[in-house]
Amino acid sequence: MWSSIKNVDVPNSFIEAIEYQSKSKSVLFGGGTYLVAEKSTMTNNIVDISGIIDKTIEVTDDSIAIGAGSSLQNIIDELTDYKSLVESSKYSCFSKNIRNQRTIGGEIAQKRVQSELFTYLVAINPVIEIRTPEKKNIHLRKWNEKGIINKIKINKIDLDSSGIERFATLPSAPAFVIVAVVRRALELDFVISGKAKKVYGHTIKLADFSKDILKKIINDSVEYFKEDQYGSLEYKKSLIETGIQRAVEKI
Amino acid sequence: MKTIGKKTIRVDGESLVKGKPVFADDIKLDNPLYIKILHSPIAHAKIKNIDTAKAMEIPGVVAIYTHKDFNKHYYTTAGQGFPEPSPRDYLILDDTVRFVGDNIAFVAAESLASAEKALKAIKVGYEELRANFDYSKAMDSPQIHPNKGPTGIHDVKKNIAANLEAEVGDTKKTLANADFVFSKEYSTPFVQHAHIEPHITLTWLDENGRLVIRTATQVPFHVRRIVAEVLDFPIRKIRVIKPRVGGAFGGKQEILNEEICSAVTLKTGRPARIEYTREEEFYAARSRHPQRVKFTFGLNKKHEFEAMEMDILEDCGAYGPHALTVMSVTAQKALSLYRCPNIKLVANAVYTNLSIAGAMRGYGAPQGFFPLESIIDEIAIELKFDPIELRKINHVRLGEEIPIGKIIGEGGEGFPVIVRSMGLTECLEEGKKLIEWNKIKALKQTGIIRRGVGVAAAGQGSGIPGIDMGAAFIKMNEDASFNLLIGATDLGTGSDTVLAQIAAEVLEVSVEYIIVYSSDTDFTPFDKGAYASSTTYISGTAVKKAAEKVKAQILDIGMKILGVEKAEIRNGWVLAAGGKKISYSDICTKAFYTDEQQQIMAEASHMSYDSPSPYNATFADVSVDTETGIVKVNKIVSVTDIGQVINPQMSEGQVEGAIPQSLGMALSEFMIFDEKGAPINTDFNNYHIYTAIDMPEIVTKFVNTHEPTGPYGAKAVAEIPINGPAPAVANAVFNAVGVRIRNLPITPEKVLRGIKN
Amino acid sequence: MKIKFILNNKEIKTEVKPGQTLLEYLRENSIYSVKYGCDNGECGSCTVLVNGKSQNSCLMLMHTVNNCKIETIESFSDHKTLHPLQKSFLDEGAVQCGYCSPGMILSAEALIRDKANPNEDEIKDALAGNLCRCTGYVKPIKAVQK
Repeated sequence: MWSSIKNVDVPNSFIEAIEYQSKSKSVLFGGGTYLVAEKSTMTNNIVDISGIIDKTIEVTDDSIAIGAGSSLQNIIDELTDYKSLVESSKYSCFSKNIRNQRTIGGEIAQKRVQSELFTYLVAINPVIEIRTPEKKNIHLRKWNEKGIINKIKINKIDLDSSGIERFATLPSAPAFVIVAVVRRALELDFVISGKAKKVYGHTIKLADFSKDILKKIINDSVEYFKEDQYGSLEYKKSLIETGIQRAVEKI
Repeated sequence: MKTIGKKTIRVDGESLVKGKPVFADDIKLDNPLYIKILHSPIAHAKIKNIDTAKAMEIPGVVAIYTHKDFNKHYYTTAGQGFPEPSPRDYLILDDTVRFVGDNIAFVAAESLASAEKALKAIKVGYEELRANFDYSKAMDSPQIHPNKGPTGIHDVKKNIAANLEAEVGDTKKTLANADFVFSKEYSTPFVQHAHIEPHITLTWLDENGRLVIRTATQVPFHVRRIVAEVLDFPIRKIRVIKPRVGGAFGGKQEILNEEICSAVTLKTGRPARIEYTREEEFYAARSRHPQRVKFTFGLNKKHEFEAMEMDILEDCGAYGPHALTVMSVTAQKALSLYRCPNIKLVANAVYTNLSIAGAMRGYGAPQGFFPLESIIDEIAIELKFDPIELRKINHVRLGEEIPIGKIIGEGGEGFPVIVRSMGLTECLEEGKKLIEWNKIKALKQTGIIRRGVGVAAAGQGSGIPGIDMGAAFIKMNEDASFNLLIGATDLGTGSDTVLAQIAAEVLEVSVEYIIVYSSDTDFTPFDKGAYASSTTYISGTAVKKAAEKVKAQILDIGMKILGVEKAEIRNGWVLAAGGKKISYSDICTKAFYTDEQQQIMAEASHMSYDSPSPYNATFADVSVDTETGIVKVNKIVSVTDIGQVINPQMSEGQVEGAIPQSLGMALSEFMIFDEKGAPINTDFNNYHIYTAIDMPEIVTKFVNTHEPTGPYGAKAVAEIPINGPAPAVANAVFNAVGVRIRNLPITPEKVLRGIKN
Repeated sequence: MKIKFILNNKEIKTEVKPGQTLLEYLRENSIYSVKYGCDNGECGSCTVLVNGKSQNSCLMLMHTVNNCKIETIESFSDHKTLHPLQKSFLDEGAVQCGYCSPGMILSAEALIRDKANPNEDEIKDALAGNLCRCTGYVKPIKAVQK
């Protein structure tokens, strides 16, 4: 029982949804797997947008458009060719039961530093279609968290030239270090996360790629981690280094 | 034999796959109270005041109990026989809290939501005391328990809950003269049972005012006795029912919440329910005792063990249930596997301000076999001798008496232990083949991933000798079926089925004709409960004896009805000369209604001074990533000698289930506390147990021996398979990358550091 | 709020509290096969089939159940017969304490409805969200393969 919930609003349009969301102690609800698991007592009102957001998955010659309401399992089932996307979805959620309910929109909105899928998406930096309720298209990294995510548009070329590595004690255990790398025409994006307080991201020009710059990335990113049962900062640095090497090899 | 050793579907299986309401919580109570416990957020403090006024005002809250509402009666929560060999250092509610999670108050309310609200509204004033979380410092840390009140604590001022020392021969002299001496220290961490069904208890007063306790427990009879004692309520007015239990592994060998729930029912007259949340399971239930073990070995030139010294320091957490007995088992099992004329043991169990440790599968043996099987490997490597050969040379032999067995029982003196069945050599040889030992050892490895193999041997026991008793009662029905009433406790372990098989075998009927009812203190005879791997060996023999008595009655009445002096039983018939015969069902029908009228029934009890050890060899095949230190277990081979296997599928199931529990202790599971003693990983995400995608390949095999003192030659199986995987993996990691981890868990960083050095 | 849904082939029309989960509703209405193990989606002992897909009922608010087809294991058998998966779980010895068994069987059923002959990896993937501490998953996987 999520005892603090007093009311559920089911909007019929984005306008209604934004209105309901502005009520105090309201949260947007897509799949609900994170929200209902945590049952925050600070939430009194649910705004269920699962009915109005896009749920389709469309593949064209050069891009993929994923509705925010698509479940992680839908993505795994329909986009089997995109290894890193599928892998990240599986790693971020080993339970198929939860994957049947968790939406990609929710995964982005939750911004979990431990999520391989979120980390990978930050690296890919897709264009997300936001409704405020007006339609806006903006790159994920530039999103100010306002509005409702309706669609995620990814360039195939980014999917093909990206890789993700994760380190955990077991395949289903939460990863303590995650590294995602995407190569674009002239740039390399590095995104590092895991059991850390923030997602670290850094872009370098391909021409600048060197041992020194890698060292800087490693030293800067490890600042977001702390010494814990998964290891010391030294160890995490070496994992980040290995992760980068392996992810880069995949590209 | 008709049923023994044959595939037999579990007798309660249909209800389980159909999802029938057979677990403790699957009934509706009439207007119950829901109980929540206020747990201490501080590791060590005196409670100066508790203000429940605001909490009582919350709608739905019916009562809040604090230490002021109970008499000061010290007991132990350990589910053990009387007199319990554990310190009586526990009060149902105390004015001092000793770990983060200790109980401060109970709230009883009309709904869970009200109870939870009330918890937040209770105000507690503390006087914080210094806390210690490091068991190596326990003896010099602030005293955790008071001088007056508790009993059975070995040295309360030094925080020593229990102490055990034993000696055979003269290790000091032998070590001084030994050809080779090795000494190393190892440790094992706090791990959790993680049974999927939480602790759950329901209580109510029946129509005659008797207290009924329906609870997920391993020890219904101990629950009855201890609740009676703690609440000063007569045993004759208590009935304990154990329904289907969703896993226990030692975590429910405890009086955990039954006394609280009963107290609420007795005080209010209303039914009550208490269920732990998963979070509470992680810090406010019980866990395995962490131990630090130092072994010193002396060998001669023939690689024979001449002296073994074992020094144990055990962390009890804040209270001491099972403190003495767990480390006794650690010592007794580890020191009983190999021959050695000179043995010395020093063991101490100490208090710290951390979560309470208790019984957990293996009950000290895993904590002993990890160091033992690791040091033997280290010795083999140092002496450039084959580790399997070293074990073969030294393990105890059939017919031998084990000197330490007589000295250390389970907490105090033991009984002579003579090995009457022994299959360890075959286990080692079979396992070596199945893991492809030679092939993996011969691999030429150059890549980033390195493969290795490791072996570990182990023993255990079958019940607690001289103490454990189980009883059975059998009565016959007209259709030649039999009711088998047993106190023995099926936790999913399948004991209802195994015991039915034994009865069926004796009575020469099929298992469908045995109707099992177990673990209800009003209807079933006494059984100490499901722990110490006693059910097949002890309760099974009681069942066999009772069934034999019943069979004799059937024969006797059959002969009387047939009017003969000689006859025999075969397959449900009494047969005599001249073609005279009468079926079981005719005999019973006549005995009910017309001839030789009586109820054919018999009971039997069994206790044994023997506790024969099953034997096991576990092999691990691992791959280590030399860039990250992450260890992947590819395959585990577990070969066990359990005497006569009674139910092959179930025995395999016990081995298969124990393996990930041990691998978890080795690699991925460990409880973490912060600098204030508060537990950090209290959910399945962060305390990670194996899922279906993590499992290595598992190969299980049984080597057949015959234990003359066991029913149909059987020994125990439930605990032994949990002893081998952790040391086998540690040994395999060394084989793969030359890194020896002596302090579990084997974290990736420890491995990587070792590789880099 | 009023909702209507199909539960084990029966239509249900009911009033629910906004914060109520499907797990709670089911147990209050005597569907005991779905169980509490963790209440936050980590153990899978509350698994149900939602329009043929396996999901954790402890994570489903009742309003999301509106117009759905919910199945629990109670609908898999009657007093005379057993569902093939139930038979194979029993036959393979895949049931020990039984607490996770209904959930595992439902997850396996969802997989088999989707793909008639799943391979071992697909079976493991489907069962990964059902935690079991008794069996090591060895016999349950074999039972599904059968």
